[in-house]
Amino acid sequence: MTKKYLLFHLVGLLSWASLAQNYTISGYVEEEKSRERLIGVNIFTPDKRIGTSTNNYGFFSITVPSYTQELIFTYLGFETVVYQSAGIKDQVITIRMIESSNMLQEVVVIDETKPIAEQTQMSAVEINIKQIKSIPALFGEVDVLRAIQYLPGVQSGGEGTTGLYVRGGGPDQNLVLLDGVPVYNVSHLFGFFSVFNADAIKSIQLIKGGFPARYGGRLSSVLDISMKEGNMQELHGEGSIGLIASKLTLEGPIIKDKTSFMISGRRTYLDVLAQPIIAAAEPGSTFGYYFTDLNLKINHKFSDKDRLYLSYFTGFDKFYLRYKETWLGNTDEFRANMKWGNGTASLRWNHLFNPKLFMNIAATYTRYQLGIQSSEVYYYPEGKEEYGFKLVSNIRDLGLKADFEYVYNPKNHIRFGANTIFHGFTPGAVSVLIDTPDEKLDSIINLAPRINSIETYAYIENDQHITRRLAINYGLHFVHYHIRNKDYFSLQPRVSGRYLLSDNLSVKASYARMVQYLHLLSGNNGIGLPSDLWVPATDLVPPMTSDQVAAGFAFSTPDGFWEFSIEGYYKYMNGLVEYGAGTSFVNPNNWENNVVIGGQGWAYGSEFFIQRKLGKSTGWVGYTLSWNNRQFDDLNNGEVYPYRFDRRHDISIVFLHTFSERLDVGFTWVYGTGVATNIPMFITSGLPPLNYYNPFEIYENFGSRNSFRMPAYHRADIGINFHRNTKWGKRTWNVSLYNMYNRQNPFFLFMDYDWFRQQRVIKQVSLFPIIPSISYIFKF
Amino acid sequence: MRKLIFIPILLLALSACEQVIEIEIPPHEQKLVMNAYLIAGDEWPYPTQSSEIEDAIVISNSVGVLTKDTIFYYDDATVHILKNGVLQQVLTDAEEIGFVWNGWDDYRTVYGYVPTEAYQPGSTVTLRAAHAKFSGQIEATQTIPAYVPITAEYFSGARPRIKINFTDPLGPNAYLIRVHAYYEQNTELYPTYFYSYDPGFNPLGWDEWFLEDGVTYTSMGLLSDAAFEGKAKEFELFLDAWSVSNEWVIEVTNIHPDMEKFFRSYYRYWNALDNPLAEPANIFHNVKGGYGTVCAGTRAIYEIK
Repeated sequence: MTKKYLLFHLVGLLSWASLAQNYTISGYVEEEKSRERLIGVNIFTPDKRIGTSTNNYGFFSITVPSYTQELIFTYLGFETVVYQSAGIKDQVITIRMIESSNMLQEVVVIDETKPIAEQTQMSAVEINIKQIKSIPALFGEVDVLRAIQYLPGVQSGGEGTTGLYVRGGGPDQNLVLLDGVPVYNVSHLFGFFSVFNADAIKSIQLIKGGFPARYGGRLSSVLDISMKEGNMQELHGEGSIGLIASKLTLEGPIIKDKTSFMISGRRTYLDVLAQPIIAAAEPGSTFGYYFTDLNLKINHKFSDKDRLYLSYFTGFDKFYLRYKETWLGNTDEFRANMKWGNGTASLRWNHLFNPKLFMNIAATYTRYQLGIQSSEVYYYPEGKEEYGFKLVSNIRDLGLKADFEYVYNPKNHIRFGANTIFHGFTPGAVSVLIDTPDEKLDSIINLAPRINSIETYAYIENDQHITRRLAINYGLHFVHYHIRNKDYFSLQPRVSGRYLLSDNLSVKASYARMVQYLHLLSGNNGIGLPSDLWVPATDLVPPMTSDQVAAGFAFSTPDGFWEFSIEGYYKYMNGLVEYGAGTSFVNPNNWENNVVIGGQGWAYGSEFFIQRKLGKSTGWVGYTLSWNNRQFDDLNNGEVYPYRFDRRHDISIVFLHTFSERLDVGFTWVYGTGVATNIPMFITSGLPPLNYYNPFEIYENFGSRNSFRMPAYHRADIGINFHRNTKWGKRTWNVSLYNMYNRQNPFFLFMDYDWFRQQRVIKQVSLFPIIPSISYIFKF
Repeated sequence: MRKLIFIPILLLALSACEQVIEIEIPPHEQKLVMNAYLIAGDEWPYPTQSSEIEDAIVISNSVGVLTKDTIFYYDDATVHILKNGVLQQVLTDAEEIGFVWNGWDDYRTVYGYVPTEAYQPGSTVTLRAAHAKFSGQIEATQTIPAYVPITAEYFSGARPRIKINFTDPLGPNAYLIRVHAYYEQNTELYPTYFYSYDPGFNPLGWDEWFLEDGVTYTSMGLLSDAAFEGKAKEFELFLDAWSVSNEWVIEVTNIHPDMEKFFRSYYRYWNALDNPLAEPANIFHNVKGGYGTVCAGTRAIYEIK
């Protein structure tokens, strides 16, 4: 009865706004030169009463009243296009936009689809990739995730790391999508660099709250990254040569106007450059570390209604060690390596059924794997002995999904779809090889058995403009999760809306329930070590849930130069999982009994954001005032304690200035309250276990969990770009200073003994002093 | 090209530029510390070193981690023992019960206050301690668990095992189980390693290892009565195949929940101490007004000869 009642009202609401005579214009928006589809292009009628924007595939559909003759297409950094309607009839079109010739117009800090006050979606921001490249970076290596850390509500884990802590959540609570495929480990080199090569990326959107129903599976944020599609017209490339890494990107047509490709690779080469030194110091030995990644995308246009995308990404880090020693006719060869990384692939098909109905179907694959391998072979005159060891830990997902967008009428934009993911977890498998004259063994030992699970969700959401002032996005996200003999179901309501108080000022509010069926076990609070272990929610370890409410104001100046926003949020998390006291990643065996479950979390605070979007000088100031606490029955005597990344104050300042087409500078400053940590505070004597052979013990006591604060973190970086057009294209020299005033920021603390003073001392290790860097960037 | 070699050298130098500075922590207010086992039931008649510890109440002080202060084991404190709220004994004379390495280069004598009367199962015992250097008293209260008599039988063979039988009293109980043996040529009891498939059994210890079928060897473990509340129980344990002995001493102690918390915290603490990636672990304290651990258990012993 209740369902019928709801359906009746839904149909009533939808048909209410469709009484007038309308027609639909739909299609794609492309960049003129490359024919690459543009995401987030703003489309509206001249009176601005009806508007929309292109989706992740450059598709739009807008239903307008019969009196509408024109549509206006705007995209920051591009010339505005005015489309004259070809009559009062449904039509499918392709709009090509030309990049603005005025370089200064390109300097846009954050590129939102429409003025912030008008967006129904709150707590979301799109980042302009060009701007990310202007922000100073560690070792000159442009980093997407580090740029996102400058936004309010987003915190970094610590010195140099790229982990994202969004509104009190952990780094495992971010759904990071690369062309629609989840990426599990987003870090290289223990978190100092992200796996995303900025040259291969077209757009980035971050959602911190008020999640639309189409997203799910993580509690705290959605980071939706789209790779470039490849130029349909001609071959182009760009690359850079830096102190620690170089990269190269090529894109171009395979069949002009039909098929294009994009390939981008990056590798660090510290190990290669160091080889001569190592070889001189230790003949016969070598060791090193590098990371590399490769992005590949091919897209084929069958017709204006059908398009196929193939995306592939692989990236890994590798430590390796080899030595060979020979003596008296004997030889000892030892090899060891540790390799960890991601691989993702997706095949997507876009189809336009009619001007109002768009479909995307995708098959996805993602994998994160850690492998440790060592082997040693002794050769001696009578024969040889061989010993080998290999550890593999991985997570693999296979997914199939379908998403639909249906523009029912000018006031209702409906999205619906479904997705099934097959998760496969191997927390740890070891193979051992022994081959000697006396013993032969070649066996596989499963430290923890492989676990499979199936996660299926379906969603429906509607972006409804009830009046010109009031717009609401509401929806439901339903999940069924099966593992072993256990089934979990969840129905997650989502709603967000805005009410325009004036043309430039709106009040916004949202609510979202999220459920996460994955846990990240990390003995280091998720800073990105390869030992981090992804495990599923099981019958013994239930899933995590969160309920987040947020409200705020958004204001933009009429000229579009300035935007202001203030948002307050409150997030309650339940079912959180932590390692129990004294446990760590080391033993994946029986991990379900090594964790404490049923934790609660409370994160709340306010975010302030002031941004200058246009002009020679752009940038923003973000400030977050927040509280972030946890409670587990089996930790800290059941008492509430601060989360490690409970930072009361977090400030980011980004300032970018373009002096001319040949010179621009970027400056950033960040400040964050010190992270909460544990250090021994006092010492007591104590009991040994009964009948144990030591008579008495001395214990170091940490006090309440996370009761000590590290010193505050702050740092300023500056970078200067010198551009020049050449015969073959454009080159840029980037000179930057990381940590320009050489702040000794805390990386970790440890206890030591000062023999001179005859007492214990606590010391802080800082990692990065002032670091100058230079890189050469080219584009053709 | 040759100049390129300076690039990795520069980078290595920069990345090795870790700067170490000293930081301050809030000063620690010293408190009195009391540690004691309140063990009732069967006496432990065997020659192991810790029997004195078992009987003694040890009073000491806490010290800040960054101070030059050291821990003192007081022989001039006052300890009151109350049974069911009524003062039973006042202990003022401490005796030497051993020595302890006090950290770094300092060995100290440990003094303990030894009660003259045995603890009775079912009684509620409160320990209160005071010392002239500290204002006020510290105290801890425990209810001594019920005595649970046991029988046991040894089965030899390819997988030597022991079956322990007892009847669980009503109410939640947890049992600490250990097996000791005299080995050939030895006159002193030694703990024996064993494992069990009993779902209520949790091994304790850091000196455990894993076999392919997932069993964990341990020298002691905790058995929860959740699955046999108030009923007769037969607990089966399997011995280390290399354990060859003619005499076995089975020890089953019905323990107070605080002792379980202490034991778990003890192994977590030591497991975490040398592992930089492990979550830090505190030792369990239950002494009001100060620090330390007072925990009760009632032991049953059965010898197999």
